[in-house]
Amino acid sequence: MTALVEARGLRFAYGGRTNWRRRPTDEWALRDIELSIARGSALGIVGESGSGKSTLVRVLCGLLPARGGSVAFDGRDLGDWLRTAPRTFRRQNQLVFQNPASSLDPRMRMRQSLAEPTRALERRPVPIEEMVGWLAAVGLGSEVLSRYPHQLSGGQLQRVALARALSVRPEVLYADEPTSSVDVSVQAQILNLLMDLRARFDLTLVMVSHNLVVVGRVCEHIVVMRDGQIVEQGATVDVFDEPRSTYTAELIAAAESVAVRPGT
Amino acid sequence: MLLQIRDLCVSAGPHEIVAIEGLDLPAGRRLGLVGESGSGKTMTAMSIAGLQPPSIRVTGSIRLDGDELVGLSDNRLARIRGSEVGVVFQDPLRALNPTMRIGRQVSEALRIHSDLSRAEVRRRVLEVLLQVQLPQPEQILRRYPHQLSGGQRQRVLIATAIACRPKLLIADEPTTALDVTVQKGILELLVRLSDEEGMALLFVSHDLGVVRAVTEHIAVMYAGQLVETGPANDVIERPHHRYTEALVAANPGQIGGNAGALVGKRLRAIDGTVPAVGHYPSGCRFRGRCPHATDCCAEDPEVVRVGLERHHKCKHPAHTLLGQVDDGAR
Repeated sequence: MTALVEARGLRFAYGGRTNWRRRPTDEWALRDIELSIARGSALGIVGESGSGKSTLVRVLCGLLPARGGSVAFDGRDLGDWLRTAPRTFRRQNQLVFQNPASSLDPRMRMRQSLAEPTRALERRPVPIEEMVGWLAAVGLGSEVLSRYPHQLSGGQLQRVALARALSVRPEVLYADEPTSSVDVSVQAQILNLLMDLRARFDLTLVMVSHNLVVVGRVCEHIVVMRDGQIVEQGATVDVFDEPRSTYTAELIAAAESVAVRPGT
Repeated sequence: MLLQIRDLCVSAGPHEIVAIEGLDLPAGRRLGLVGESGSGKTMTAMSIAGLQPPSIRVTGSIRLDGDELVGLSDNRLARIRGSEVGVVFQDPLRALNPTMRIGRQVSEALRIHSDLSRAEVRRRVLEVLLQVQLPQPEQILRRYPHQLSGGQRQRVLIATAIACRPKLLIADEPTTALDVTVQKGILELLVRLSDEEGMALLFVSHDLGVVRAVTEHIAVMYAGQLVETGPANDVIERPHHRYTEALVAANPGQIGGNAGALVGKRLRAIDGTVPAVGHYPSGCRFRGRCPHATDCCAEDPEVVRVGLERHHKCKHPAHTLLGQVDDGAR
């Protein structure tokens, strides 16, 4: 399998200040990240708040600039992509955030919000029928189009956010804590939807979560992060069965202590 | 009985939000209130603390240590709230005053509800900060909320709630905003405090697993009603009500054992959403989403008692004493 996304020695720090050696004065938020994501795979990035998991995703999809090392998408350097074909790159790398209520403009009806990515990246107006199709793919009806964000539930908003991301037919879908702000029952719906969409659109899925159980259910590969570094990565089954780092074992124990077996 | 709820009805205008026939919490015990958003669990908890919004009407009876709380004046309620009932909210950043140092916030209830001297108040504040396992309490005292981590803030909030040694602590989704590892620490802390202080705990959460880690008993709510009560493990392992069963089945699973077999497997989600207030169906309110529902579910369900400790309101229960009922409706 070829790697679709590849990070080599990736570093990042917030804050633009550098000292006389051109090193950032702030602490590294990401250090020496070595990561490769195969086309069509599902990767889960796990860690606590402040571990750098969300930062990593933002660097990988070009929202934050790498401050060292390199990131390549489809064999081409990220800097190159953003200089020469930014719209193509953005179209192929879409991101869904934790809190859909704050990622959708409260003053826009859903049909406006939904049309936005296509208008910005493909420079064309979107016919209503097309939007209805996108909504159907995420299990929503056309009545949603005339609604404002405050008129929808958390689960519905997350579906709209997904429809919006998928409207430009991305290669990679990054989902940052997609179910952290919803109940267990809605979480099950969203996770199912993610798995369905991945199969239907041949997506490469990168999911960030602090919850190992959630990530383990959806992703066959897993990366455990702490303090801006990767402490462990591998197949989900192997990491769960025999965690190599004590930190992973701690995370597993914490998640296990509140896990509910779904029965058979 | 420390907390005794009878025929509680919480309503907004003509619409009933919560209707609970009966719920008891003995002194020093822990009870979990579980349900999805919109099930009325938070409204129930807030009504007990008298913190429901002014437009909400509460009728029926809520007795704390024999004293009726429903219909009490705001003044009298405020006295009870600080000293006998402590409340911990989901979002500690919103519950703490950003312009007030931690020491002042934790001591506020003590200054209002006790006649301790300044030195005694300070001693008690340090004591509770130690009790909630905050490192270097003398320094924490002088900090502002934004200088603490999420877990530390939640510990401060718990310290504030228990400063006056309440008999009942109400915790509403206290760990939902936290990481799993931090969550584990907070849950253990709540259990330890309740044991040490003999303090009853009403723990509200949408997460069955979190509730089980803390409480002995759980009460499952759906669309404003109690649908099932019983010992936590029992209810989760062998749910009677079809809603509880569906809620358990919607969990993503486990890590040990056959976790590998679950990767990429669809979850058993519950179709549809919780009916909105004012749109509750007649009879069993879950019937619109229930794969086992039949015509008789349109009639109001009776409370069925199973064994000594379990109650449910399902006409087609799962895992009854006769063995698991499986009618192949799935």
